Amino acid sequence: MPLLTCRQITDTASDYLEGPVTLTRRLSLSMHLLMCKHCRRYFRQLELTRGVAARATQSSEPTDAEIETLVGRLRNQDI
Amino acid sequence: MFDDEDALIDALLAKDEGAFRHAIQQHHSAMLHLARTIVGSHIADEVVQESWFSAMRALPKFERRSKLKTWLMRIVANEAKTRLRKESRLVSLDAMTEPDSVLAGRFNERGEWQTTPVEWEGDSPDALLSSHELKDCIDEMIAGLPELQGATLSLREQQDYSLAEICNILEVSESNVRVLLHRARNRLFRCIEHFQDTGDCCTD
Repeated sequence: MPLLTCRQITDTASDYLEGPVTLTRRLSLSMHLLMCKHCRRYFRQLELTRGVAARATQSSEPTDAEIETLVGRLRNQDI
Repeated sequence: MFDDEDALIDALLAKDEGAFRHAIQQHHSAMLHLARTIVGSHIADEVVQESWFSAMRALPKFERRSKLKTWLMRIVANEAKTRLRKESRLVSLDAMTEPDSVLAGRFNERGEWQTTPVEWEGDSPDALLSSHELKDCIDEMIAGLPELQGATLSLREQQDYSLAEICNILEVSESNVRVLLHRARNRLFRCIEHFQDTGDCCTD
């Protein structure tokens, strides 16, 4: 089983999160995480980062007036 | 009445006003958000408006192999990228095979952590975001992400699209989507860490 460095772990972290990952690589990761508290922290906080990204501000819904303006334009458009 | 997507598309083709209204209510804000992450908020409205017109013109040729929303998002991404290209703001994605450099300076030559990750206070996204300063900082940071990183991050984490769907919407390869996503996540990671460490918003 190849020994991974911390740098390799962080370079490929999103691949582990997104999959698919071979069994060998998954085992290499688990082994590394067992031994390395910094990478454990990195992974845990990268998961938190995903949650934070999910909660970032999104664009608000259009107002009724905006919808009606756009409906009017689409209706009148020569398509 | 438009729960069935085929019925909605048929009604849109017939230029039914209720169908226009329904489609706009359903999809406009996601389209606007995507446009903002690519071109910025100053021209996003214009881009989305143009996208609706393009979409309605192209609708007779829509083969209905993807969801209507995915198809609309693809049109928005296209329109937005065309704008960037006109303003020469679109960076080529050809050279994206390089590993992520956001954290590169933090390892020694043996690939071990030299500047180790700072432990965060707050064990959930909500706990972290209880600070309004951090929330504002993150919104601003995501809006300023380069390449298509902001769009990729938002499509994956906020809209929950699969990597394959993101490839389809942004018209980039899956390996590029993976790189963009990882870079965006690491930048955001570094930004949260910087805030936790110093109490200040990240500047890059």
